[in-house]
Amino acid sequence: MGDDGNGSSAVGEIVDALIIGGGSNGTGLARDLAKRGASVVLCEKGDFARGATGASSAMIHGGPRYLLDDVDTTKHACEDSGYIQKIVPHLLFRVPFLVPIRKGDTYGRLQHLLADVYFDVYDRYTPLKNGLPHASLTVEQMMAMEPRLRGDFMGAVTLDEWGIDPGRLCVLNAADAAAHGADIRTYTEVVGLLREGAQVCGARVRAQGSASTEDIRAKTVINCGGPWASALAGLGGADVYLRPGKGVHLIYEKRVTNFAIVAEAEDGREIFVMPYQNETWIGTTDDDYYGDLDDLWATKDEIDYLEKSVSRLLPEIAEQRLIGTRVGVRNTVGAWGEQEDALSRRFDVIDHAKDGAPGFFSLVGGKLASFRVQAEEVADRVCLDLGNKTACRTHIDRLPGGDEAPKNNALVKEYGISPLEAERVLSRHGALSPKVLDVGRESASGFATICVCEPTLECEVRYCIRHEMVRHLGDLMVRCRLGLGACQGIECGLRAAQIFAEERGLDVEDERAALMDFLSRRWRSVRPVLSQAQLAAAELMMIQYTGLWRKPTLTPFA
Amino acid sequence: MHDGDGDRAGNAPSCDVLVIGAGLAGTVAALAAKATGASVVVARKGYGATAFSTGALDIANTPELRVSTRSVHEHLQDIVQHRRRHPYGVLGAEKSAQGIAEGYRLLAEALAQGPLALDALELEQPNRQCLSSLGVAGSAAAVFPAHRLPVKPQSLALVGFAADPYFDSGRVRRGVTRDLAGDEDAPMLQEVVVPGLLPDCTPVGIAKVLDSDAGCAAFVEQVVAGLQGGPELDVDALVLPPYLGLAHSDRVRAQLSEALKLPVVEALAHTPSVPGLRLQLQLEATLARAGIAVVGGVGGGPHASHGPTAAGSALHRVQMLTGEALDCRSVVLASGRFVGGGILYDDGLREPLFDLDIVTEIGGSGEGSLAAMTRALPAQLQPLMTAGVWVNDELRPMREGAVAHTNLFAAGMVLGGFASRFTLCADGVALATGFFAGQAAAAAAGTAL
Repeated sequence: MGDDGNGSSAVGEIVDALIIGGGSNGTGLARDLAKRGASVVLCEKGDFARGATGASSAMIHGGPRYLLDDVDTTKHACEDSGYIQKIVPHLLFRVPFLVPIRKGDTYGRLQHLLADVYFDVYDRYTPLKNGLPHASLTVEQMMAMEPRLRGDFMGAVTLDEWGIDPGRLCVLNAADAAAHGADIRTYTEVVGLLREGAQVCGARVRAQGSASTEDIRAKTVINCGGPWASALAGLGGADVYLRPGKGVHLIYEKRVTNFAIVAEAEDGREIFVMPYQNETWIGTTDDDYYGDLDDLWATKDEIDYLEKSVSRLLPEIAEQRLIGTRVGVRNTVGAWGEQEDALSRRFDVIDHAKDGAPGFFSLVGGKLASFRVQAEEVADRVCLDLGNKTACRTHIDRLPGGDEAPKNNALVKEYGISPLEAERVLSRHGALSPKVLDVGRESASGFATICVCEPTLECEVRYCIRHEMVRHLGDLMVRCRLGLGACQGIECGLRAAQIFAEERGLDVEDERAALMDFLSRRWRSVRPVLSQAQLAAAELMMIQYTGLWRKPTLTPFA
Repeated sequence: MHDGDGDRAGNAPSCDVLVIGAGLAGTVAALAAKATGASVVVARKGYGATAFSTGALDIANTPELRVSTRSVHEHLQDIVQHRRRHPYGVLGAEKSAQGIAEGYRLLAEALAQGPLALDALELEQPNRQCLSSLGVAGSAAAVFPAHRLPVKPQSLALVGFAADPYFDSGRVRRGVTRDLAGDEDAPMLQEVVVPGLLPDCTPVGIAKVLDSDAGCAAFVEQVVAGLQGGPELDVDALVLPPYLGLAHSDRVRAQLSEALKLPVVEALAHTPSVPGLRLQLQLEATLARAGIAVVGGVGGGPHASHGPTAAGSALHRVQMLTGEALDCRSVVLASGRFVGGGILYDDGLREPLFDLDIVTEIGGSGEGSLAAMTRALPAQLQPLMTAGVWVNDELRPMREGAVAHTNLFAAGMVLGGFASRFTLCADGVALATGFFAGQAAAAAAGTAL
C-alpha cells in the first residue's frame, strides 16, 4: 500500500466500491469514499484524465453563460470552485478574461450596458470562488490592455476565472485516495459486470497487455466513465441517454496574450483564445459525436473553424505555430431537440436499481468546476447503501501539496535552480516541492533540464515516476508536462526513457518500447496540425530514431 | 520570379551551373559540374538534413537486419526491385551504383586533405558495423574517420562522462549488446564513466571548446586522469561520445590515443549532431577550395517562384531573397525536403521555387488530407514524409506532367518517392543523383549557347 497506488485487494475480498473511470469524477469519488473509510478500487482504461477531463478547457470557471437558464450550474460551479481553490491552490492560476463588445448598429451601446448588468449578476457568485468583480472598460482601456485586438468595439467587460491543471488534479485525487487505502489501477479496462441475480456485485476487468481477466467483487459499482458512461451503463443493462459533445482545442507554441479573450465565431458561438501555462489555446467546439470515442481526431474543418474565429479578432494568431490539439468528448446529459451549446450542464446521479441493476450507479453530466460536489453527492448516496455515516471532508482537507508552499526564492537559494524552474515545480507540486527537489541531490545530473520547452528537471521526472503512479513513459506528459512542447519529444524523450529504465529496472527492449510509446503519443497530438515547422520537426524525429523503430520488411508498394 | 521564356535581357550569366542547396547532394552536384569545366555558383539558405547526419554514409541497407552479410550492392538491388519510385529505382540499379561510385570518388577527392578523409567505398562488401550514441548497433557503407572501428574488434570500452545526457555509456553498452546478441563476432563491451565534463554544455558547445589548443589539452588530461585507477582497459579501442571537436575533429582523438596507447573512436551521433555539422562545414570548405562561390545564407537564398512558365522552356535567372538575381545557363535543385525547406507543406505540398510536381512513395501526387497522408503510429511509413519532386530517369523534374525546364535538374532529398529511414540510403541518393544532375546540368549549360 505504497503511495504509488499499488495497494491491491486480496483475492476473494469484497471492496465497498469499484469505480470505473479515472477522470475528475472517478478520482474525486475515489478520494471522497477512501477518506470516509470505504475500501475502493478504481479502474481506468488508460491513464488519468484520458477523456473529457484531459481535453477540457482546464478552467474551474463558474460558467457565466449558464446564468440565464441554468442558475444551479452556475452556483454549484462557483461554490465548488471556491472549495477547489482551498484544497489544491498550487494547481490553480488566475485567468483574467476580456470580453470585447462589438459596435452593433443601434444596439451597440445597449449591448455594453446589458453585458455590464449581466456580469453584475454574475458578480454575486464570484465571491464564492474568490473571483474579482467584473469591470467595465472603455475601448481605450481595452486596447491599452491588449493592443493587438482588431475590430470595431464599444468597450469590454472583464471577467475573472481560474485555470487548473486537470491532469494533475486527477493524479492528486488518486494519490490521496491511495494514501487512504484505495487501489488505483490505471490501464485496466472494465469488460463486464458481475451479477448475483439482479444485484451488481463487482466487475470483470482486464489489465492492459493481459490475455486473462480478473473478477473484482464490490458492494457497489459506480460508473464515472464520462462519455463512455452510456456503454458502461449498458454492461448493467441500463440505458443512459447522453449527448456526447466533441470539443477541440488548438495548442500554440507560446503565449500570445496574457488575457483570455472571448471572440465571436462565424456562427455566433463564443470562442476564446487563452494563455495556458506556456502555451496558447483556442477553444472550443461542441458537436454531437457519434463516432469511436477511442479514436478521436481533430478534423481540418474544426481546426480551420477555430482559427478563423479568433483571427478576426487577433490576426497575430495565424502566425503562431500550432503544436498540437486537445480533443475530447463531453458527457453531456442527453435531451432531444436541443442545440449542443444549449444543453444543460447539470449532473445526474443515477441509481440503476430502477433499471433492474441494484448496486450499480452512474454519474453523468456536470462540469470540471463542480467535480467535487458531484463526487460528494454520489459518495453520499453510496455510503447510504453501505451504512457509512462518516462525513465528507473533501472540501476541507487539502490534496497532496496543497498546504502552504515554500516561496520561490527560498527554493532558488536552497537548491540552486532558476526562478523559472522553481516556479514550474511549485505550480505542480506546491508544498511537496522540496521533496521533489531533494531527489535532485542524489546524483550529479539531478538538476539537469530534461525538457527544455517546459522546463522539467530530472529530479521531477524521477519523483513522478516513483510516486505518481506512472505506468508508461507517456504518463509523464500528464504528470510533469514532459514533451508537450514544440520539440515533439525529440530532445527529452530519449533521456526520459533512460531515466524510466533506470528507475524501473527495465531491459533494453522495454526501454525502447517505452520511448516509442512516448513518441507515438506525441505524434498523435501533433498529427492533425502538421504544417511546415512541425513537419520538419517530425521529419527529424523520424530520422533520429531510425535505429529504433520496428520496421516492416521490404514490402513492395505497387 | 524567374524568366523562362528565352529572354535573357542581354545579361552575361553569373555562371554556367547554378546549384541550389549546399548539402551533400548540392556539393556533389557542384563538384561534378565543375569537373567538366563549367563555372558553378551555389546558392543556399540554411542547414538541412546533411547537418543532422550521424557520421555515417548510408548508401543502401535494411535497418532491421542489424548486421547483415548481404553486400551494399545487394541491398541496392533489393530497393530497386521493390520500390519503383525510389531514386535508385528511377535510375536503375546499374546506373545508381555507377553514380554512387562516381559521386563518392568526387567527395573523397575533395575531402582527402582534411580531417574527414574517406576510405575506398566497397559496394560488394557488407555494410560495416558501427555503434550509435543512441545505444543501437547499426551498419553503414562508409563512416568518417572519427567513427571507424578497428576491423573485427574483440573488445571495446565505451567511455562516457558522468551526468552527460547525450551519451550514457551504460545504455549504449546494453543497447548494442542486445542488438548484437547471437552474433558470434560481436565484440565484448565494457562501460567506463569518467567524472564530469563541462557542466550544462551542449555537444556543439563542447566540440567548439575542444577545437582550441587549451581546451583540447585540458580535456585529454581530464580523461587520462579519469581513467587512471579505473579498470584495466585491455580492449581494441575506446569509444567516446561524438563531440570531440568540430573544425579539428582529429586532434583530440589523436592526442588521447597517444596518451592512452589505444585507438580512440567516436560513436555515431544523434541530434544535435556534431558529426553532421563537421560534414557540413567541410563541404563548404571544399566548395571554397574548388573555386565555387557560395551565395545566400540563413534568411537568404532563392526566392519563391510566382506562377509556372511554359513547359519545356529554359531557365536563365533565379531571384534571391536578398534582391540580387543570378543568371545562369542551367540549374540543379538540391534544396532538401522538410528540414532543409525544399518542400513546403501548408495546406498541401509544394515545391516553392519552381512549382514542381510532387510525388510520394505510394505514388500519389501528394494531395490529400493529413488523415490520408499520415498514419497513426510513427513507426509506420508516412506517405507525407516520402514526398518530394517527381523526376524522370534523367533527373529532370516535372511540372503538370511534363518536363518543367530543359535545363533544370534535381538531386538529393528534394526528390520524392522514398524515406531514408526505411532503406538507409540518403547519402547514396545524394551522391548518385548529385553526380548525374551536376554532369547533366553542365552538359545542358554547354549546349545552351
